[in-house]
Amino acid sequence: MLRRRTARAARTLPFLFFLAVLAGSRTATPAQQPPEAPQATPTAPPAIPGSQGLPERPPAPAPPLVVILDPAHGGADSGAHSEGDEAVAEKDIVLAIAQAMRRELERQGIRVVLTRQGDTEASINDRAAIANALPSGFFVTLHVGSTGDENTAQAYSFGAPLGSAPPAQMPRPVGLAMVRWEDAQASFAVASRRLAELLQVELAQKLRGSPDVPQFAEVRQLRVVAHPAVAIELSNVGEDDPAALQKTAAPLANALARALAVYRQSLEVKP
Amino acid sequence: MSRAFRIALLVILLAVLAGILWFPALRRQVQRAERQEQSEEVARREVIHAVQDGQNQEKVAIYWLSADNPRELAPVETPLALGSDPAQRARVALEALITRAPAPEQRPLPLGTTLQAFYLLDDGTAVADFSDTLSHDLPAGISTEQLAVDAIVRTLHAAAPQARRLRILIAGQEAETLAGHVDLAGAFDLASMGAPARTAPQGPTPPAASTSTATQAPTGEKKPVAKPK
Repeated sequence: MLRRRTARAARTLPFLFFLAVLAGSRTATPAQQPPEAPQATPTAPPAIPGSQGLPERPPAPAPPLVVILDPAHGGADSGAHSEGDEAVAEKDIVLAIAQAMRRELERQGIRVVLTRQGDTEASINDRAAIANALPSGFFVTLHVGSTGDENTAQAYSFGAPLGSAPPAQMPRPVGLAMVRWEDAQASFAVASRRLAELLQVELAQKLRGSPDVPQFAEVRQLRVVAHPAVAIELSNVGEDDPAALQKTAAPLANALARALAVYRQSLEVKP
Repeated sequence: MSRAFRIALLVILLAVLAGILWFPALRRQVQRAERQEQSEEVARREVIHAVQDGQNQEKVAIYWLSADNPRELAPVETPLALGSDPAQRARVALEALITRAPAPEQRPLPLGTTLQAFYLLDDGTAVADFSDTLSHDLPAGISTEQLAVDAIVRTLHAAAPQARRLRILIAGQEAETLAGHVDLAGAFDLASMGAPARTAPQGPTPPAASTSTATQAPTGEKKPVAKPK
């Protein structure tokens, strides 16, 4: 009897040992794992100071860059216009420039939304509504003034010049779930100013004679836009060769693309 | 033709006849009222200028375009008979801003603009009502509109610091923008402007007061925006 039991145990022991080894391999701790993982570290990028202990994530793809181009005026609202038989209107010049800028920006991989496609009249609020419906973007309203040195450009962000009276409705609401339409730009004032500064630097290089620094102005169109927003005013509608103004489209597009690239880089560098 | 129809026709004919007779008289009344308004305006300006030529004058900063840089404003200390009433002081200074620029190219407001009305309420709210020449004849552009508004608010602040906010009307009406660009929908907060700027005496052109210095605004996350209906 005892001999029979011993023989049965001897037959089952190897099987039990195999099960024990199998179970042990599945429940092994990281310390028990073979050292393949550490061998991969030499190919990893150097760690960013201060990032130790953070979980490693694959780099998120950059969100698509969206520019909302606003050719000002339109329809019955001609804006500035020159005098004489071959008078040109601001509404037509800015539309042509915006369409040319769109082609150039899209060639550079930037998505462009125009607030008007033709000679149509749109209110300031309607234009802002097109922009504010987008989750993100950069708003640029294009104007041509009737004064100033020819073929120069001045960028503006929303705000009161120093010494002027700031608009009463500009204070930023705190703790509200909704932002008043009048205060849409308040949360983006610093971003808009930064973008205007970068843009003006590029404009000064690409359109000689343009100022080096942007200006503040209480432009109604900028006030109601909930994105980083700038206005560009070209000079001027009364110049001798109106076609020269339309040739500024490519430099304007390149200046804007460059300013946006630097703006985004500056955001990435910030902690 | 029924009797009722004949009566109705007669009434209509009588009304037309009365209108024909009354219209010339109405036209004469309107023309008389216009002439009277113009003569009052001329008389008021003559009185102001006459008083300004007198002894009781005070120097106040009037913000015209800089002679060196038409894209900037330059305060010029100008002798005016301002008086003591804040509303009167503001009126006189704004009239001078419109009519007494050192040179035509230094006008920030177009020629022919008139200050139709000016009120200073007890709570410090000033209301300046300009003729529509201001919006119609202003050279189009962001910079020209901003300079016009700046000239008004700075001159007002220098002459009547009691005014704490300014509402600009055009031809008696609220306007969304001055001439398509600069926001007039709200009131301008004069209380946060601080002390009036130091000025240079009238004569040699003073250094321009730069309008390009940065102001600060807070940042924040994007929130839903409630569009007005």
